[in-house]
Amino acid sequence: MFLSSLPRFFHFLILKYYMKKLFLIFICTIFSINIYSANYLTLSAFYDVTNMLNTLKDDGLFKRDDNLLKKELLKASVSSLSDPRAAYFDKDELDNFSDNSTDYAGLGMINSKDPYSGLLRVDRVFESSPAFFASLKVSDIILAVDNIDITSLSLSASSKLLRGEEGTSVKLKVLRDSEILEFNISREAIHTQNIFSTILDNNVGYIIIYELRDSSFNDFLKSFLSLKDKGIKDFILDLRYNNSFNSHQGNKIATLFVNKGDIIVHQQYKKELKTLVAQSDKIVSDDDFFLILTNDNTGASSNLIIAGINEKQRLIYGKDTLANTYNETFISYNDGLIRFSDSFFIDKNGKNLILEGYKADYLDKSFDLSRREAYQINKISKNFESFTKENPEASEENIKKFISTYKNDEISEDILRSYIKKAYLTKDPFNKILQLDEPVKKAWDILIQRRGK
Amino acid sequence: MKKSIIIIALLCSIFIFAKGQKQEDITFLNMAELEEALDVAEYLVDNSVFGYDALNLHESLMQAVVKSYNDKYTRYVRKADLERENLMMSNKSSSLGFSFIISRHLNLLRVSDINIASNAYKAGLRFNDYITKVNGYLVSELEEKDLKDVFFKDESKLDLLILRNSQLIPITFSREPFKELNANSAIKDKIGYIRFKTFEDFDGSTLFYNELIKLLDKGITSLIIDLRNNGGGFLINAVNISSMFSKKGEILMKYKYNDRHKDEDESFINKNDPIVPDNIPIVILLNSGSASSSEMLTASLLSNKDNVTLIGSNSFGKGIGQRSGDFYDGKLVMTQFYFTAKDDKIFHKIGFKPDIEVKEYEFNASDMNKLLDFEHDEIALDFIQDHPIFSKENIDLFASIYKDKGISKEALKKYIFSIYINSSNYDAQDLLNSKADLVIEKAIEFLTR
Repeated sequence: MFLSSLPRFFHFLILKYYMKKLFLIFICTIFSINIYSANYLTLSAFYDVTNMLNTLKDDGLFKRDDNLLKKELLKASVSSLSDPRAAYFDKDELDNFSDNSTDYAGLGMINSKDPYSGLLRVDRVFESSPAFFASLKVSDIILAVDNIDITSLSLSASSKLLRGEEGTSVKLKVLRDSEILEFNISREAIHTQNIFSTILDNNVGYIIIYELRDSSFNDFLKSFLSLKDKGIKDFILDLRYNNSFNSHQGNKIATLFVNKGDIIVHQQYKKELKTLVAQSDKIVSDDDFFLILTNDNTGASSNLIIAGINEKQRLIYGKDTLANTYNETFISYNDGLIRFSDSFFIDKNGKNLILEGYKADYLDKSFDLSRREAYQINKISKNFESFTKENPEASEENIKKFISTYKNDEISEDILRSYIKKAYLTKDPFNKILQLDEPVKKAWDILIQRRGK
Repeated sequence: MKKSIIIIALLCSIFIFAKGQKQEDITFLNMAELEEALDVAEYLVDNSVFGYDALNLHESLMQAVVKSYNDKYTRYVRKADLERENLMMSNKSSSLGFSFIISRHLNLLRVSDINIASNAYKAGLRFNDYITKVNGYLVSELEEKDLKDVFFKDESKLDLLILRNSQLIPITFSREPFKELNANSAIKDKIGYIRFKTFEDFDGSTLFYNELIKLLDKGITSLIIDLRNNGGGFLINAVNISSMFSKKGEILMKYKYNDRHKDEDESFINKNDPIVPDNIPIVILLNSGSASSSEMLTASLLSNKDNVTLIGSNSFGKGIGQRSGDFYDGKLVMTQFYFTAKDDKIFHKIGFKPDIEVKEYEFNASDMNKLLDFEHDEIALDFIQDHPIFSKENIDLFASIYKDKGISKEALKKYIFSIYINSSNYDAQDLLNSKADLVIEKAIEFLTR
């Protein structure tokens, strides 16, 4: 009776008040019949959301779209899991994924669109990519591409502008902190590579795993066996920038290092602990030795490979690895796909790989560019390419020539040296690797010293 | 089994409780979607190594529900966003003369609204500028509450670094209390002119009334109401203003609820006699920035009077009203009704088509870029010092002097026009005398014919 004397707007508040009380009584009942916490959580959500749906249905002007509701609710319930990688992809989004081929000509970075301002942000810059040489940085904001203001364009439209024919150049306007920087960068083919191997001086094998893919185990085995056939016993295993979530392949590679019947790793699910045991004989012999190269971006399933290698047979050079070794799993649902982490890993010595990563035995003390230096590198970024074209030989004389040409008060010799070396490395990655890639050179030194002992 | 018992029990309880309410208000007919989503959540709780934060789950689901209405005015504000929302509300009603939206992901503030007569505007701040630095602090270094202090409490001077068209521009202005001239009137040849800027003031209709009385005392024979770029505000202001023109007993405005609440539709009836004589013809000036309460006033006058003419361009078309209230830990803003005039015609998403269409020139991106040079060299300010009279002749003169700068004549005219208006603090009489506003000129031509 009194309800009708109040404005419409208050109805649902009053209803809510009483329902909350009643709901509390219910919770008591629920506890008395001994209920799982999961049910309690979803039950209270059921109550909250039902209440809102009823309020909107009762007092709202518009009708809801039930298909949209279904999709949005699914997305919300998956993405609100505390797992940062949990997500639901509907059919349209999955179709979009398959359109994106992995090889293209561009600048070599990953961008995202900010929902509030509509601006384009740099999320990742690939090592030795054109964007890397132009000294673009994570969290830079791209304002304009070829003088076209992209602030009002969609992510896919902006990405289209950034990509193009190989060798063509693109002009960027970028906001960093509160400075505007201009970049002129030429596009190059960006390969999202997988595994490569080569032999360095003094019979040191070098294997780089850029990313763990479904073919990684086979590729790794092939590379490893071909090096072993040539009598190689010392290996550099390059896991820099490898932060991929593919624990299946990581564990398969680890099997190669573990005796039959021995533990590879423990996998902790919500309610049970599984132990993975090697089912086949190991391929690696006891006198093989591995120097593992890591950096700030080594983690996830890379840790599983390290976990498999006997401590006496490995050293780590670089940075401590990330503690994020979750097992990512996909289940298909409603024409879409749900991604979430169903377990994490504990290595055979009991190290929990989501609490700590592997410590580097030798720390790489390479420098981070200051803003001033990044600005200077950007100013001469065009010259890296033209210089390596005019002076194709990656010799010490050429490197010195470059340094003497571009050295000034603002930029140190070390920085110039490391950048021009990386520029040569992009042109000719494997023959000159020892000469040009400083961390690999240091890893190689360590291996040779150890051999001497 | 357990789950189904609980759900049945819950169903019963809600049904029992809903007794006395309309039974059909609470239904579970469409709960399949929700149950599905919660099944997934339950599955994830059982199978994922991560858990749920109950508040986050509830809020995410509520936001999902709100999204399914395809209505940008219906929304759910999370508990954590309430502070930000309040900050935006306070900057709207503050003395800054502009308001901003916070982008946390990029650490920028976007100017979402700016008053043309404010110090900020005079100093060069514009709509859609991004603010990167405030009084020497990077926006990224400031929390919401710090922003509040910097903008509303600290020093009396604001020192901003803004981003516009890929350029950084420093802007400094004083934060002295700024009184908006939201209603402003002028008279010319017995034609009255009222410019009404916003319906957001609590005493908006009183401001309008004061200007109207001034004009009526001077014996106007016709009236122009300028609602261009008036995005609305409190509907009650539109009702009160309409009552000054409409006959006693006429319906000024109607609220139309959804089908379930048809019987509760409300009508606002005029209890006063009009103060404007019936024989005064009225012209309303509209453009695409005229929305909500502006359109309500237009609708109300059109339905209650037969001598109303619309001039300008098509209005925005917002004819729905929202109410908001606390909902759990956050806030629910819900579209609840259409507002219409007595003819029941819904103008939402349609707007009002003018009887006489006059298109205004709109700046494009290249104009904006080139005009920045003008601003940089203070060319316009120098010109105004030499030619202080706000007139059509001087505006044409400016356009012809700088026509070689690669910028269109229309753009130049519109630009110097806005500079004149700023320097005269938006005096309606100057505007009326200048003969420079094409829409007003058309209205005067129509009324003197």
